Amino acid sequence: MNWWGRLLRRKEQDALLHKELHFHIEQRVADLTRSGLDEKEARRKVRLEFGGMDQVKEDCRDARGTRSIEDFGKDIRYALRLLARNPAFTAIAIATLALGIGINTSAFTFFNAFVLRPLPVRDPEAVVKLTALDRNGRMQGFSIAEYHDFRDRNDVFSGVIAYGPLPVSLGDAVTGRAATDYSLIPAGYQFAFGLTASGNYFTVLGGQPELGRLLMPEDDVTPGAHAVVVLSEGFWRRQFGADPTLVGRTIRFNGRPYEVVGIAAKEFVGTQPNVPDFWVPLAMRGQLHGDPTDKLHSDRAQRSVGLYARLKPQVSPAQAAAAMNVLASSIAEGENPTKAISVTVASTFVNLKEFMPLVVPMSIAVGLILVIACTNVANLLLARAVGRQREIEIRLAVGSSYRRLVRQLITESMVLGVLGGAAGLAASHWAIAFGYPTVLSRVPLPSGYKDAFTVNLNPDWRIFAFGLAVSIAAGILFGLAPAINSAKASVTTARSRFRDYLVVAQVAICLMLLAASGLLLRSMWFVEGMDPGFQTSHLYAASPGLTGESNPALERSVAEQFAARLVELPGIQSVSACDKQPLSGMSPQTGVEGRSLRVAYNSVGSRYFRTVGIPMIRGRDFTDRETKANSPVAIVSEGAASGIWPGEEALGKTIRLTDDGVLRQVIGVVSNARVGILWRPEDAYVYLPIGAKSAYTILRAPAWSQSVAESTLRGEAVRVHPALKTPVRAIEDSLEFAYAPFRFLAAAAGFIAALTLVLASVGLYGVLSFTVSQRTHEIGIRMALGARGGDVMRTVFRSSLRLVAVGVAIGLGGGLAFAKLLAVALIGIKPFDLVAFASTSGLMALVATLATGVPARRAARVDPMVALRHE
Amino acid sequence: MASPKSDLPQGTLDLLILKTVALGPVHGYAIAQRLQQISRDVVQVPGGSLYPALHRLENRKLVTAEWRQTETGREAKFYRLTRSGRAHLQAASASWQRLSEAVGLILGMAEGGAR
Repeated sequence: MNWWGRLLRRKEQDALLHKELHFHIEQRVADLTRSGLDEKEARRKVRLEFGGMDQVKEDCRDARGTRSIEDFGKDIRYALRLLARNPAFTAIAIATLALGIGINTSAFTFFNAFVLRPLPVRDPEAVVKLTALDRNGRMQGFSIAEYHDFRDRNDVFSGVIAYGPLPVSLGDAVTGRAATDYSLIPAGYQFAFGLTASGNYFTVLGGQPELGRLLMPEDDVTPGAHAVVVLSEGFWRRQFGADPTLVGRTIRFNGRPYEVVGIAAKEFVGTQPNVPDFWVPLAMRGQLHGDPTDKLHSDRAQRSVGLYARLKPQVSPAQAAAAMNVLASSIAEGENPTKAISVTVASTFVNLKEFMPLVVPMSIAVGLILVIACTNVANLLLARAVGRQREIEIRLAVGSSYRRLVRQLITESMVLGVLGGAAGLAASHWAIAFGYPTVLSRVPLPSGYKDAFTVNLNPDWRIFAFGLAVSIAAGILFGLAPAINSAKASVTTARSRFRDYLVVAQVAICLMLLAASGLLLRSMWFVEGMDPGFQTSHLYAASPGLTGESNPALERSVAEQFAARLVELPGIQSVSACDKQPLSGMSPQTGVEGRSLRVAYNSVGSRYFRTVGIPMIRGRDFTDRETKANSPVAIVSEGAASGIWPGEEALGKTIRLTDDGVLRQVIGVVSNARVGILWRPEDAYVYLPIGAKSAYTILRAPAWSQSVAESTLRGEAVRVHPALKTPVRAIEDSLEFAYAPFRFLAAAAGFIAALTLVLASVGLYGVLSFTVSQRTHEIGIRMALGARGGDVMRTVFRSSLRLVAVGVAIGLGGGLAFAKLLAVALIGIKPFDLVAFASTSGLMALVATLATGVPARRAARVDPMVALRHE
Repeated sequence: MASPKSDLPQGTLDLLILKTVALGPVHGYAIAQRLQQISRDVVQVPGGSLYPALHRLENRKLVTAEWRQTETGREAKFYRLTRSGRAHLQAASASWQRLSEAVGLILGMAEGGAR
């Protein structure tokens, strides 16, 4: 019979073993009675020679070689019984572990979704992303004309696809500038976030329809002629209740009718981690933006799409890049042409390398939480081991081997680990299913925008495998040392050193995470305290535009009438126009003729500086005539003035910007302002007259709220033209938006640090109270010999604070190393920020002292009589 | 781990059992009896050593066992040597003989002649 068979037929084997031994004994008894002993006497003698029946059976089972597995099963049952008998201990241990493992699993879930999960397309290994680099090595997009060249003239790819982001308003059109500005969706509009995709998008990636059909190359030929759309399964479900009759019907995007030709299969999400709501042909992009002839299609300066490709078999990304570089240099047309193309494997959503600066500190932080959770549970196990000392001694005495005992104790901690892991997985799943949408809903974004963050975070086998591996690792981590210590005959002495390590480790780890969150908090406060250089309150940007078919001439005259009305409207303090509204991302950059300096620029109307609140330092503002006629004048920031003409007076000088091409005279100097990204200064700034461009209307109305601004402007717009719409955005919202990432980081770090602080203080309290209870006898003797309560308290404090001091020292070192990793996320704060480190060390020391206080007082109140009788 | 409860050197019990079993199918009680008789009561193997050893040998496939009737009509587990058991027995007894001769030579050495 083989090993496995013996294992499975354990009962039967045991019965046979019993029969065999029984035969031996009966036989011996028979022999002895035959030689004259009476039966009772014979049996007694046989029992003595044979030895303990159960012991013999155990040894025989050992000899059979299936022991470890049998024992494992027994150990697990025993462990479960033991845990059930001690529900308070079990609940605390499982909750602690669930917290540690849950946080790690949640972090891994995001990592998995972005970095590990292969693209849900056919043969993802062959999918590559193409990135265009200009002559300065800067990344840029591809133009559609360029895409056509690359698609048709390469011999390294079996297919090249193009896509671009496309936010559309469902129903009514959002008009004017807001319709094309991805980041500035005004409040009050329902938006969907889709992609414009080349006709071969689905065939190259390999998607399947859920219903109807997907886009075909025939859908992407003539600009403006293919009003068809494919919806994603999620959007179809969310927006249309999974109505199967939707295919073939018409829905409205930006006020224009589109025929739904199909629904993509649920698994298909394309090349981005967030599922697009829909896909429309690339040729329809212009039509949706009120430009039916679509200049984009032929304009090589419009770099609006990204490219993915599928490698031909046997072609490496490096070979493909070499071939594409040759092709790019043979095309190289238009201003700032593509000089080089990098080809990177895109078999997952995100390349791990790009994610590293986020992944490393995050994994360290969540890993450390798990370590703290494990040290807490290790401490609980140690405390319990003392209660089990008698049991363990008895088991050793009746012949349990040392290794066997350790194995059983480790099985117990692994059972605990797996239970904690199961609870952690459940908690993590719950947090992601319900907590993540809640967090997302608090980020200041328009509601429709958030659908774009619907990353697929469903659990898969990797998450289960990760959770299981972490649980078992944790079980060994917190179980091994206590198990070895408990199984040693002398349980109390060997362990005190181990307890010291626990205290030091908890203090050190906790301080590391506290310091990190202190740094991020200080960085957030710094950003929130930044002066943008202009007044954001009660500043609104409106984007007037006509619904329906595009008529640029009519639109311009209507917008002018609208602006003219606003000037006289009560409540509005000042009104102007601008090409790019404040705090809407980096301003465009351009070169200056004859200088190496690059400057940011914007086109603005007259009274812009007064409206926005940028102080004029020298010279004068644009006049109405100058802005309307786009006269050859410019206003520069102080940064630009001192950068271009160091030590000279800028007023009266002339300047020519590469993007503009006009030689302009400087008529004014304004102070520097952060009108692009709040925390990234663009000090060298040039303002040009707005001319006849369509523009944002920017206005300051000190008494208005967002809703007053919206309703008032809506009323005015209808009076100018019945089809005129004016979405309004408060610049303060943009400011909030700028704070959001810093607030998020500080909140996440603060949450992690607070959890760690709670875990660590509970842990410290546990370790120290246990130590005191262990020393009750010793303290009792001391008190009996004349020590006072105060002396005892001081002794306890001294010994614990010595450990805390070691922990703080190690934690500071670790914190400084960790801070270096965080440096990229810190604005205005050095990684070695004294305030953050000093205050968090103080907090740690305070908490540690409080955690010591209770046990120390208890030690001081020990009654010598009770303590001595106790033993 | 089971510690040998007889005074026999480690591994010797296995050898003695194999030798006894080599003489023909035999049950555990008979093995113990025979070892005691042949050794003139010097080797007394308690059940606590004998049966684990038998099971260990069975597990290593040096002996195999089957249940059959004794002369008195009772069911007993009879052990028999396998082919590899026989090879093992030969090798082990040869090396035991060498060792015991060597031990005898050393013990028979004249006092003071060791240097």
